[in-house]
Amino acid sequence: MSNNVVTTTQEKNITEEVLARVQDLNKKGELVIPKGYSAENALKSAYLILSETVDKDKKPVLQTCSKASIANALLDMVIQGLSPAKKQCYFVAYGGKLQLMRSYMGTVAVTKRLKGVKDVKAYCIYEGDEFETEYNVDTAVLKITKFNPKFENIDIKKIKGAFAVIVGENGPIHTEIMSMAQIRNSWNQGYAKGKSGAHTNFTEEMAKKTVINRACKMFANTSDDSDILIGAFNNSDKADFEEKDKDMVNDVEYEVKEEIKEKANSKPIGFTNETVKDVAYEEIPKADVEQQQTIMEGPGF
Amino acid sequence: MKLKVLGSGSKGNCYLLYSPKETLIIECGLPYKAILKGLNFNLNKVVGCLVSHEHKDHSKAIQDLIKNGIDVYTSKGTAMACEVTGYRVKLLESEKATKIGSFIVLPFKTQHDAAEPLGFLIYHREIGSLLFITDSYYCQYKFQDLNHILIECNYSDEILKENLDQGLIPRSLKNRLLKSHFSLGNVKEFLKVTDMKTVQNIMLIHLSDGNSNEAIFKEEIERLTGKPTYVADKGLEIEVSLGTF
Repeated sequence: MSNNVVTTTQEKNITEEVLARVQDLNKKGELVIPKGYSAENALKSAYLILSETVDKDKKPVLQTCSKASIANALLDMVIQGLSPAKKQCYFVAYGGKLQLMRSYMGTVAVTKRLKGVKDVKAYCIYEGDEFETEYNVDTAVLKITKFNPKFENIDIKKIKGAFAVIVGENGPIHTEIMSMAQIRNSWNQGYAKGKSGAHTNFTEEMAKKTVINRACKMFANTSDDSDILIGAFNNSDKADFEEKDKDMVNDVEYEVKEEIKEKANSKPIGFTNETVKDVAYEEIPKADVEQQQTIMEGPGF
Repeated sequence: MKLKVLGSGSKGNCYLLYSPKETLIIECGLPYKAILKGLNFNLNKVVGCLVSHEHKDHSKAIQDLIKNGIDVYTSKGTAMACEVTGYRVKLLESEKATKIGSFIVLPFKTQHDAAEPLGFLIYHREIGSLLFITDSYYCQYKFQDLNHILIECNYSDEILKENLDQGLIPRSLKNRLLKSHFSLGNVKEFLKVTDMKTVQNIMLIHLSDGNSNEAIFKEEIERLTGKPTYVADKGLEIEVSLGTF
């Protein structure tokens, strides 16, 4: 019981610490939180999920994982703009360390957020569908030149393969094609070996998921960080800015010095005897003074 | 007569010049309640309030003062920027003296990024002349026969440079400071050319939170002028009557 209480407060501290760190980095411009992403919400839901997550020995991860690894996993989540509530990521404990695993949905979300990416689409190719590809030697781009799906061909037992296309402003940017054999090999790597209910009953969805995952992984993991972590980009930009700013300071400094040299402490000003005399004789009427002094008897200044 | 500091610095400025008979408020950059408390809830000796410029740390309570029947003396530009009107607002013009109770106030232009900022030379027969300059990166005037000096001493170039190098303050802020506030170096220059014969004491006001050092500022000004120097801290009260050494 008392253990739980301690965990709760400690966990709150971790999410709050991470949030403070994220806000600090964000303010300094060292970290850019993706647009439309609320780090606060994600951290709060991560906190709820983490408090119910257990490791392989069924012990709460908040007790068994190091504080640093929890903080890092949370930071990793925020940097990538992932939401645990939308199952874009989940937390797994490995040997006393918490790790963030990006889900298929998370990978798609990250990809869609990249600059120039509009959408990610995937289709299954069934037996009988017309499907042709072309490779452009000059641009090293694999392109689908013909895809003619027919409704009557749809049959989960007759899937030949699947492809995914990452679509940008001006059409496809990246195409990934996998045969069903390749897809099944990939499923074999997994925990269910491609034999889960989902794989058997919704083969087409699982196939699309696999090919999307591969397309996005290739694309997202090899993209530059200009969208997520703008570190390098920002640093070079900042150096340029500071340089310009420095000159500006020097200009202002020079300007101010010159202005002071020219104008400071030069124009005589003061009271003429006339004005002072005039006022020196202005007395507050005596009765008034006495009255006021009586009032003063209270707490003085 | 006494001078009491209710607040000094960017968190709010307000000073009271008072005798048993009269009180002159200089600046009202604190919540009205704080000013009222500083006055011991006694408004009937207040002859008026001088406001140097519209920035909130100098003018926060201006509306409340007017509402409570206190005359406010300020420039036209400041009154417009503060959006105050009515017969309680008395407009001051640079280099034109005005009587406020038995104080005579001679306002003069200051150099600050505000609409029409003023400094004040205040004369009262009990204290002689008291100079009040705040929020001005230099002063174009030359004064004589001063008895008391209240002058802004916002930052020192050295501390500012250190803070800049450590990234504690952005460079853009430095530009603002340079063109709006009095540095220790410029205060010293000002004091060097000012006739200090009759000056009894100096009070340094409006020190920056991060770019100043009370002890060093006080020591440097004292060493330069040989006059008792105070740093305006909230609650500080000093005697400003003539001839009290």
